[in-house]
Amino acid sequence: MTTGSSFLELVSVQKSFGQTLVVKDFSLTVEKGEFISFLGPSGCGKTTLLRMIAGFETTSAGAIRMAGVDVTGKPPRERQIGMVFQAYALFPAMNVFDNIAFGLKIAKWNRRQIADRVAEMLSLTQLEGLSHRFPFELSGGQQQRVALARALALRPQILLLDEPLSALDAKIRVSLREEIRQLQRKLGLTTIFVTHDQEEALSMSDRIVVLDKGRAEQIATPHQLYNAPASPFIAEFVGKLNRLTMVRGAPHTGELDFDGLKVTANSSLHGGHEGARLIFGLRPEAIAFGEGPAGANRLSAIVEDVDFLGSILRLKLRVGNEILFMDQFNNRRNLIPERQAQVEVYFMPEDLMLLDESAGTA
Amino acid sequence: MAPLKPQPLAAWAIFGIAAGFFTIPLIATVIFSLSMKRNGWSFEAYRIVLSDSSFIAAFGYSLAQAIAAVLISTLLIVPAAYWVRLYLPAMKQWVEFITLLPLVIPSIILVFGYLRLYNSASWLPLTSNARSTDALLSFGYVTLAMPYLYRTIDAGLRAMDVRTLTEAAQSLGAGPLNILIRVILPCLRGSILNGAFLTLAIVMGEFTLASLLDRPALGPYLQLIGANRAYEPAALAVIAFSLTWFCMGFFQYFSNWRRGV
Ligand SMILES: Nc1ncnc2c1ncn2[C@@H]1O[C@H](COP(=O)(O)OP(=O)(O)OP(=O)(O)O)[C@@H](O)[C@H]1O
Ligand SMILES: [Mg+2]
Repeated sequence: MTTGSSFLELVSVQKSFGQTLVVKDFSLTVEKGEFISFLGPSGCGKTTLLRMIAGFETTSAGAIRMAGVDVTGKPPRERQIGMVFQAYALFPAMNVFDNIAFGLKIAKWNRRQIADRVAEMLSLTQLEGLSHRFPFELSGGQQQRVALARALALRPQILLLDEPLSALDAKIRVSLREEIRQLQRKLGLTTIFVTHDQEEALSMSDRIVVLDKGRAEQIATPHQLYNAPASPFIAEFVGKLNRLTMVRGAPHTGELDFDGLKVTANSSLHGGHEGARLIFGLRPEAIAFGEGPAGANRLSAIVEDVDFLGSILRLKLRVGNEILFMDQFNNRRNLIPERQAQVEVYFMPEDLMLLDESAGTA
Repeated sequence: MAPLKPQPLAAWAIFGIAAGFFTIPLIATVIFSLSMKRNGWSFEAYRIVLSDSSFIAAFGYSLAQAIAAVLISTLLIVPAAYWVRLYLPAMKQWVEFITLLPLVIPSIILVFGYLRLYNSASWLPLTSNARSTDALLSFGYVTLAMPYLYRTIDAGLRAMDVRTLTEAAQSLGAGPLNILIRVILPCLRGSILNGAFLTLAIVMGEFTLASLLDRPALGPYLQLIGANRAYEPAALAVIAFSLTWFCMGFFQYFSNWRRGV
């Protein structure tokens, strides 16, 4: 029985270790060929969830279906998954060829088929010429490619990766993640990728599942997640965020008091009473120099610090007693503002994201 | 960590005393073994030992026992240590305790236990003929070697990420037997060779079990010669020592050769 085009289904999955509930009522539907990331802080249950999909952990409740088949109680080797681990987990006593051929030998392919398939995998992962090397003779990036080739050799239904890039240095991490994504697109492979690196998740995924304390906080595309976070936790976890505490002015005007300055937020701000304390989020890139169009909130600020990040200029601004971070694209025709300089900046009302309405009364 | 102050003189003195402690008796034994003939040095003692057919037989018998003990131990201990490490980590200290028992219980007690349990009037009369007594002796050696083999194998398992390797193999469709034989065992080659060497050293010199089970092993033969001759035991000791070192070098070579060291 298949249910529409959904390929992997997790239905109200739970996991407890002893008394502690580590994954709570988790449901997710993954389409064929989709690239999903599990993103969340350390200990939120990403690995546990992935291991349940792989079959290395039992589920305490709920069901897991792959291609319409219930695999909840099945052992890993009956699930046709490909798994890539953070620590590579290559078989130390086997060379690259034998590592990639391992699953094929277990599945009793014949010699010719194995040789052909391994050669194909070596070229797919750009490992030609390394087939006789042993794992200890390879760099971290090469080892992880071998692990990927080994996982893909048997044409798995689903590829599961648990922080496969976190043991690598920054440059390799970026190039390998692009490679993984290209490969995944080329093979149309349904993929679940665990990471605690939000940049990785944002750049690679079709959809991201943000986990917090074993619960899915939001399941959305990277664009939605960043621009329309479903909760304050996500707003702060994904990307950099300024937290602004404001005091509500007269009701229904949308007018706010930000450290003595009048600020307007999106007019959809209803209810609440005058003097209520509200907490808003504002992305650093939503702030710009100048006066802006009509209706913009204008602030005059002191430059406390300038952080030059290459393509981006991050300024630390003081507005009254508050600190705001502002990101600008680097432009070599513009001068970098001096420290302690006074600058005029603005942001649009709709860029304020309401994070917390219950922060008390001023 | 504060660097140690170099004190070359004291260090060399300690080294010299320790080296002398080991080498002086050895040199004395070698000299003694070479002085069987009154008029100068000779290999006469060695000639007599090596031409004695019962020496060759005893040596061969013990070597076969050692090899059997290593094979049985490997088949027994590798899966057990693997299983404990993977699924019963809480049992680890108990298993370690049990594997230490052969060091605590004298082998004389072990062999009397065997004789009570497996005598010809028992439900499993292993001592009723020579072949089954050989088997019993091998099992005894497995027991004696267990503390060493278990430790070397467990150290080998600790050096690799057993859990992740197992999971990687499982995700590629392998069952427990395939994982043990294809993934775990090849990684333990060095550990098993080291353990095999220790087992060899134990079995080649073992006296109590072989003597009380009345099997023609090297231990009882050495005892016999030692009690009745003067120069031959010294020659035997030197031969045993050389063989031991030869085996050690041999194992080292083979456990390293794959890595091109
Ligand atoms: N076998 C286990 N027994 C008991 N508790 C466990 C076990 N495995 C995981 N946990 C607990 O479950 C929670 C989630 O762990 P998990 O490894 O899934 O986190 P994670 O999101 O992958 O974290 P990280 O980013 O650090 O890898 C943690 O609090 C952890 O202590
Ligand atoms: Mg994890």
